[in-house]
Amino acid sequence: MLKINNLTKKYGEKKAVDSLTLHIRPGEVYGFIGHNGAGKTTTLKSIACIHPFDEGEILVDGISVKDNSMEVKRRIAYIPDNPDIYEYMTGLQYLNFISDIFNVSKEERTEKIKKYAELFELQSNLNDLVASYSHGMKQKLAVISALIHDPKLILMDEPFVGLDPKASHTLKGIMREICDNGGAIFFSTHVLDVAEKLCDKIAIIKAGKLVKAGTMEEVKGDESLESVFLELEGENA
Amino acid sequence: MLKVLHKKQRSALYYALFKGKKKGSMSGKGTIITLMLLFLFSFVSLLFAFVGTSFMFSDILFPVEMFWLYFGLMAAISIFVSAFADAFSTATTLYAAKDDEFLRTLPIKESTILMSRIVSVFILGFIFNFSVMAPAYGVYWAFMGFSWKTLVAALIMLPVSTVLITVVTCIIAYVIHEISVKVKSKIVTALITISMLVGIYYFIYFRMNTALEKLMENIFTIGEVMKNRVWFIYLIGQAFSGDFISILLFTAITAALFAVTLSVLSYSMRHEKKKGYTKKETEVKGSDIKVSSVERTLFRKELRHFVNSFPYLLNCGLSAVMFIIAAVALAVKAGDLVPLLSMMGADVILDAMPLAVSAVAVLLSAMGTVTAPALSLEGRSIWILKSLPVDPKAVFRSKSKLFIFADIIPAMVLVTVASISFKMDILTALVMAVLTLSLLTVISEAGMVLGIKHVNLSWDNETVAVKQGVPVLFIMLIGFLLALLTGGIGFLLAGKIDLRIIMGVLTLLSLAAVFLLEKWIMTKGVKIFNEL
Repeated sequence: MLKINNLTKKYGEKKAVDSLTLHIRPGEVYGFIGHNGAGKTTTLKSIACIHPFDEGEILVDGISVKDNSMEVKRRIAYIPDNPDIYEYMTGLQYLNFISDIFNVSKEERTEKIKKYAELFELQSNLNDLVASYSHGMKQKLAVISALIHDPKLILMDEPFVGLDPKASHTLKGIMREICDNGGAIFFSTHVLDVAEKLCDKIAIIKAGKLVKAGTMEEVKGDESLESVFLELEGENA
Repeated sequence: MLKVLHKKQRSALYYALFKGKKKGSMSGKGTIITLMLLFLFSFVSLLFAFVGTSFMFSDILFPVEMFWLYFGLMAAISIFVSAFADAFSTATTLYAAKDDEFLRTLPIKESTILMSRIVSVFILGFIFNFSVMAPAYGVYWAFMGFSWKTLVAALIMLPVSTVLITVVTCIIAYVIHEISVKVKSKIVTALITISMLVGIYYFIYFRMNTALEKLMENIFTIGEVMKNRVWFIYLIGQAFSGDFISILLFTAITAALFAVTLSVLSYSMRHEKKKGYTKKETEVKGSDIKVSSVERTLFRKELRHFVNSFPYLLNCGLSAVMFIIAAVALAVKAGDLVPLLSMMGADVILDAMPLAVSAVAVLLSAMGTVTAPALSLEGRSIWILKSLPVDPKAVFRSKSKLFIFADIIPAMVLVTVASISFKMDILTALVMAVLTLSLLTVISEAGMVLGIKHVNLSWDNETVAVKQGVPVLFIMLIGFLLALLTGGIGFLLAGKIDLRIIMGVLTLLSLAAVFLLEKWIMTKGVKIFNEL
């Protein structure tokens, strides 16, 4: 579903991501962990066609991000770490806007909006302006908008930040359901317990370089993910 | 602490003006020099305008030695111009700063946060005040001779009267904010506010001549009446002319007013509960969900932003309101205007009227071109458009369509009224409409180019993008030059060459410019967008 080969992204002279290679197959929930500034967001934004990158190749469903970003964007959804959503729209107007862009039929969008708004307990707020939403509500809206067009790959940057425990639980269930139906999820997180329980595979990035990747067993063995992560962090410090 | 907060505000303004795009690199030398020249040009123009006003008053008041009235009137103009010029951005700065909640979580007193915002209002007020009062003193010293007493008065009164200007600006900003909270529709609020201000401005402007005539006829009587009834003007006038007891009294009153304003603002900010957002708490019905094409949904997004953002609507909607006001004024006053211009021997204006109308349309449009701040206004939400399968060209087109809604349609109303009022033949009216349309498209496209080239996505306050960015300032300059060029060509060539031929050539030139600008937007503009 997602093939990243030798991805390099520089900000000036500094390499934010350095020759990163990672493959994600359909059905996989893939976690992405690393310290602040390690290059997680830059990688996710490069896949989401938000940031152009300097070297390497990214393929989503076999389509190159560099050659055909429009087709890639039709297959993905991106949820940023800080959901800055149009404050001048109501939640419903925003979901309609996203549905229009993805050409989602009226029946389908009605069904999805009702379903997910109920699951995330947002149905009574959808006619309010986004400006009046809390961080968590904006995050829920961003999640619903990402699910509305059935993307094959969902990219999430710290998706659980700001969500209440029930919404977090709901989101985890939805993530698993999407992958069981053949989709894939690539998400960054600092919550290692969540990563350990939820992910099929995990990648650890440090200073732009991939230091470890594989199935949960391959990465952590008998240890906890936290101790492996801290060991790796210490190794090259 | 106040210094730290003010430094933060200064750096936001500095970033908006001198830094390029997202990477934070400095703008090119050309941009910086042009910007400096633009500021200098605006400042010198203001100074010259008020030198003229000073001469007008000095002519009447110096021979009768009513210096207090001279300074009183100039100070009143200064307060009016400064306060109204800065009221809208003050309303946003005081009540809609995006960093408000963050700053309140820091160990900073609310009064300090408020003061840091008020300092910015003071600085802008001082610049306006200086550009009115410096010419007033210049003319006074030129005719009455220099005195140390008046210099000391000027040095004390300029900052003190700026405090009064700050107070008046904050009160107007407070009123604007209260209207915006009470009236749900931002469009209605903007219309009320703009109409109020334009109404006051034109009331004063049209009454000015009559008032001056009356002043000349009954100067002593009016002076006495003002002394008794508008005592504050007398006090300001006396203070500016160097009466030290008046300076002390004025300073004391201003300090008291400032203290009261500060406590009222402080209270209103403390009790601000996001009153502007009404929670409907209603369930979604199937009928609420509507399907649109991509183009339509993008345009609706732009329109929603325009009508829901107070700073955007006030600054860029001003052109539309001015077009309609100009059209109504023309419909009512054209009958008086034609004989008046003929009487003044300004037949050339009548001959070149179609070009003059196009020039006025350009000037009004450049006052608030929606395309100039449109991309910057995406701010931190830019990730949405960038991650969606939307062609950047479609994004730019949706922003241009807003220009049609906000500028071209109202401009066409003005053009239609002008062609009827000045009894133009159908062909001339048609060519004038096409010329106006193509010139406005140049403004729209140039605004878009500047908006892309100098995009600033990291503002904390929409006013920075709408009012203080390079694109907005540059498009005003371009509009002014284009209007000057169009009008100038009309006056130079009217009567010598068929006006319709001149307009035809100008239309072709404008269309060529539109073609080049559009090409830039669709190639380099798209590239810049993709790299944001």
